[in-house]
Amino acid sequence: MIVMVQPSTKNHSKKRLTALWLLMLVPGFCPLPLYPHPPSEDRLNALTADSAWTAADPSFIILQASILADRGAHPEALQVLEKLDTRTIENPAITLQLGALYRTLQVPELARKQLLKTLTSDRKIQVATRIRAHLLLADLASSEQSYLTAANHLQQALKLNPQPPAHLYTMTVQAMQQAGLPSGPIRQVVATGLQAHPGHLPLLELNIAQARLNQSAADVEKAIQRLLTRYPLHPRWQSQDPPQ
Amino acid sequence: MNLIRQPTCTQRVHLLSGLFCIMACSTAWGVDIIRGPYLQNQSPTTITVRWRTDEPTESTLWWGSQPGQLKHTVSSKPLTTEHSLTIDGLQPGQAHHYAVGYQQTILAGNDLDHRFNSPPVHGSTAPVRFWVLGDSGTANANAAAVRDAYVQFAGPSTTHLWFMLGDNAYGQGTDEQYQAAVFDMYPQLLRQATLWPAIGNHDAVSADPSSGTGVYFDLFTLPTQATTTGHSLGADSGTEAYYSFNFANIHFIVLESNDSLATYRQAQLNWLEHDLMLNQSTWTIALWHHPPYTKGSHDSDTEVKHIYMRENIIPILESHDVDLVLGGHSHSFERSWLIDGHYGHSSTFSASHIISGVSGDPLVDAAYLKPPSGGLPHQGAVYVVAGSSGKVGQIQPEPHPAMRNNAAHRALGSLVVDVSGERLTVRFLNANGAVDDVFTILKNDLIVVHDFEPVVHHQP
Repeated sequence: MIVMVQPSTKNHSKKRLTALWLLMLVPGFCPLPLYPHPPSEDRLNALTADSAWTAADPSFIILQASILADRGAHPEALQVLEKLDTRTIENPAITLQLGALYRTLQVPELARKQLLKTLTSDRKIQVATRIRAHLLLADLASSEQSYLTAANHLQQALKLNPQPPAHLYTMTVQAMQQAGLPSGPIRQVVATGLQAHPGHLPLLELNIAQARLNQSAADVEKAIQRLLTRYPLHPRWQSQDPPQ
Repeated sequence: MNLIRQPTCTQRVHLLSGLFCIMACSTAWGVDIIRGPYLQNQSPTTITVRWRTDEPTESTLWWGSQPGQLKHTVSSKPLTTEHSLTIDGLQPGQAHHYAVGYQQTILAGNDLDHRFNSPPVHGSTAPVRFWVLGDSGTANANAAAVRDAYVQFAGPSTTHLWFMLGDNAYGQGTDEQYQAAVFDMYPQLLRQATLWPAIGNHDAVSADPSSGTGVYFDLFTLPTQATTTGHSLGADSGTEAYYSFNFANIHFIVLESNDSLATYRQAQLNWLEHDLMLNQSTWTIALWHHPPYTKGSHDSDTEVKHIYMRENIIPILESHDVDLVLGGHSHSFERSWLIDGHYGHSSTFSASHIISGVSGDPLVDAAYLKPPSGGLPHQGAVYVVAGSSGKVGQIQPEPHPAMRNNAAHRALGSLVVDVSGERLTVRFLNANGAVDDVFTILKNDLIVVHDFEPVVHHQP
């Protein structure tokens, strides 16, 4: 028999509820633009009609722009953001949102400016905020083929993260390779990644690729055996002529 | 003149001992469980039990075959309010009872209510039931009604595992919102069956999938090294943002559809390819938040997350013959025919994408038939949107043509899925306890006969 437990309820003010709902639309809070529950036109009208907001409130402006960005109205969103005096915005959580929004709107210079501002803020910054800023900056740099910058940001994100997921290592290695960095530091990242995630196949394959670069047949064989020990039935590595 | 006499050394020792006893007793008397216990990260031989106390304590987990006979223990010394202990070496397919607490003090359990069944060995054809909630995080009467309808429907039968398709706690996925929408809403199921969540856009407000940080990741223990630890016959994902595991003859894949970082998305794709390449299960079921086909409160033709998943994930899944794909986000129920190969705008969907145009309900016409797994790719999958476990939303004016019942069904509800050997049955159970839709997929050689002898089509 299930014990029925009444969920705890809290009385939020109208403003708070609206703020919570609308906050969801800010790409800085959510890594991607979100989509309307009511159609976006309704959301925009609801926001504009909400007297709890003042037109000069930066959060209000960012939310307005986010709603427009959601429906692909990038020029209109940018027009709204022109109302902001970004020089006065110091809260790193807000600058992170703004940077993420500018990235969505494909204005990399402004996105980068806000994200760097997030990282250099004098205020106390949560580690997660810092990591996210580095990841967004790395993504911006990669999209502009600035792989060395991307690699640097990803290495920073790796250092800051107490338990980095395996893909953070593969993303870093990829950027380091694209940046043409020497194999020593790349091998080090792969090795560190495999210590934390010994059964992660993309890392195991990167390990083989690094051994091949080193042109040591023994190292290659060792790296392949390391993969096959974990995944003896992996079809890609069964043949005598495994993939390059 | 000082009238206060300094205590002697012995008196000091007694005083300190007394203070220590008072502090220890007051701590012990005050300790209460304020979350859980809840079951996590289960494999045929392991399970993690988590709970939260209002005071820091050591952690102890007892388990055994019967209440009153909890002969085994595992414990942890560090004082904490966030307790997480893992049992190894369980017998697959067995019933277990447990209790949690600290030192010799049981805070919860050692009764009939705190129990779990360890899954059978991978590949077993034992019957499995799982419950699926989508967008259930409203913490209100809607969510409670959906829950109660399932409790009524299930009766005394075992729920082996359960899923949340994202937006598990509105509006920002904070710890407090999770407490209301998950831990206070489903206490019984949380302590008897393992919850496997996916992350939704609202959960992602307080969590970052690409770095694996935030509330969602703090609350759940998920298999980052699933193959290494015996949870999966696929590949280690190295992250809790997306992962796979096996239960009996089913391979479950839980994906992450929120984060748009290009290299992160590519990493998920790479892992998925590996995972599916190694998967040899009878059934493959994938789930994530943003469904590839929907015309409910969201539109998969215009919204980029849906489009990304459809264009990039579905081709890989179908090339490895996925059977069932579940999503939420749209607050309605939609489900497709048995389809394959549609990765574009809904206007490009045609009859050529429909592998089977029957209802899938053996009582109406016929179940969907698929050949035994391990053979050919692209044998068809059914796509289900089930994001109405907490609220019902508006729907788009035009239905998605991939959907069998056309217009999105605006009803609160959840999915009940039963798998038994080579039969998989999905029901949409509404909040009033009625089954609004049912379909079955069968995997056997009948599909070969089907070409010559249509009558076998009608066998349930």
